[in-house]
Amino acid sequence: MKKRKKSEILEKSFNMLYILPMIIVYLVFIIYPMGDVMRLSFYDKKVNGDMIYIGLKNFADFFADPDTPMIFMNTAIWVFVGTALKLGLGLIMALALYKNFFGKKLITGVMLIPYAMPAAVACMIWRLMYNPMFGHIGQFMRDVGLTDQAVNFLGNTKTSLLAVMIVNVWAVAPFCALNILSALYSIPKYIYEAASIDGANGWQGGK
Amino acid sequence: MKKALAFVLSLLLIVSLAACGQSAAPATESSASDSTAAPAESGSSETSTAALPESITYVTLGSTGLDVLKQAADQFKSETGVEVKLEDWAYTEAYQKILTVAEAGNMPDAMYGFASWTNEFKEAGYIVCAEDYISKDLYNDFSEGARKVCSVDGKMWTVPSYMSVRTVLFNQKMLDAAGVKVPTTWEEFLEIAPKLYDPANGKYAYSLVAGQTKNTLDCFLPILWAYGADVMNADGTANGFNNEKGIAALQMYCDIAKYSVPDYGEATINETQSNFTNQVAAAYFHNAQGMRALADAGQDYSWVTVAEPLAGPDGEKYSLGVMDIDIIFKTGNEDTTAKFIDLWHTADYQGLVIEQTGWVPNQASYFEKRAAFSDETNVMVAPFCALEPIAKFKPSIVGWEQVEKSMADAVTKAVMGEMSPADAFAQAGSEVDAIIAG
Repeated sequence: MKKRKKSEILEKSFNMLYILPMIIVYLVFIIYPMGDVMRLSFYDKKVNGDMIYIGLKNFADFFADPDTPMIFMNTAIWVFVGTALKLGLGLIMALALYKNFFGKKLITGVMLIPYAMPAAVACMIWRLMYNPMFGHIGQFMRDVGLTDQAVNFLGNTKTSLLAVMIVNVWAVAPFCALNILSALYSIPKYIYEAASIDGANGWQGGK
Repeated sequence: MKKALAFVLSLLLIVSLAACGQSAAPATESSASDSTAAPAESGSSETSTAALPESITYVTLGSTGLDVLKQAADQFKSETGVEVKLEDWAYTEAYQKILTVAEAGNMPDAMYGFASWTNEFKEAGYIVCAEDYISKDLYNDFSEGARKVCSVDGKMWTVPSYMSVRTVLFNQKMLDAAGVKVPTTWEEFLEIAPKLYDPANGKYAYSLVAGQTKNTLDCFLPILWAYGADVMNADGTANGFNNEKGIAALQMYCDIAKYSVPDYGEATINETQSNFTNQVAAAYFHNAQGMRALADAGQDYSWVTVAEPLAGPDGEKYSLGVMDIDIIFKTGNEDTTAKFIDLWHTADYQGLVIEQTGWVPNQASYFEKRAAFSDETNVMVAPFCALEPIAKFKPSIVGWEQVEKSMADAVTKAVMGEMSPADAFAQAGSEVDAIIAG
């Protein structure tokens, strides 16, 4: 009995070795830096290197800053609205690709281009498109009469968040579509058949 | 077998992490003793061959003068046997990068930087007093104004390097086509701006920056000064812009922005130069770099008029002096590094770079030895040199980067219409007061 317990402990200890490298990396590169940053947030560092303990003053200054509400607002818009758009657009793309139609493979490839494109290349292309003087987007808007002025989409605080979100949604939605599509393919066809026999319409079947 | 392998890998990882930590810690020692020989003692005027380091490191920014630096490095090695390792950092990341490596004790021996860093780096203890290490000949070669910009408490802590004097440049062709003369005040310029503004045909009166922190102030400060305000008040104890004159200057900047190329929210000074050299903007605020770029491309630049800085309501006018510096860091190799700085700051090397880039020399020997600098008909140099007496420089104060950001953010918000100039400067004023108070 004792021998068996000892061997079990030994077995478990060896098993821990499998995850030990990851634990060390996690501790050294994530937990320690986070902890140190938290510690530093309670100090004011002077130019001459002196570290003065100031308690929660940094946090108080941050919340007292008149720009802070806008920071939270922009972050909330980016996280919630952006994610909703990515998932929504991804769902629409996945549902469209779930059906069989002529040219499906070609369309699938085209829809995945944003996801496959390197971020730096995508940023450069979109930056040129957003250029207020010769960018395609501004020119299109002037041609259709939406505006008569050159709009600085990226350098204008009224439009910059939306402009950047559009690029982010464009780049990430195909990834969401892929995930949703693989989930759709994993649903057995007989479930849909059973649902249609029971009288479910398209929306009810999707649910 | 798998368990044994996992055990071995874990041990290897632990050992390598420990080794990484060890190699980062005594970085000061390793950078100073980047050689087999001991570093020279600081303050000593003569160093024997045995005391010279094997190599020193010099950092330039934005590849400035890199080709010529390589030539100077080759000559230095042939004369002293010391290799000069050259590094090239981007302008935008230089400040954060040097602070990071300085904190790690891994500074280069010397680098090209900005005059506004002088006081801060001196207070932080990163640098030595350059005046104590460079030769007297070099010290005396600098203009009085250049030495003053790099001095703290009467001593020259950093070495004056590239200097440019910025003023308003006009596209004479666009002015003639609009039937207007070169203005002499900002008010006059605002009056003629509508005649130069034709967005349907891609023509604008001005090109400015109102988004990127550093360059925003490069464009705005001359207007602030012309209106009689400044970054700080006379005794340097509080901000000098949150007042009637400063707010009026910011209002002028906002008004000019309405007739400017609409990329000011994301443009840098390079984009303003492109807007001007591509003849999209009728005017912009800069140095001779744009003309130099046109000349290098074999294009005509005779349509450029270098005007005096525009005056404010009380007739005050200032050109913007931009002083870059060479910094000697406290690495133990100061004597050798100073000798390289002495070699680099000669007409054949740095003087050549200044001539190639269209900047203004600040050493008397450059005027003597390079004909381009003493040619009064040289439009790339002569009119800018003539403006040096009325050049004003950004202050070198501890916390300048935060002050600059506060002011630039205020300008951006006002130009974008998010806040009125008065509210924007009120907010920035209190932030800057807090920074100055420490």
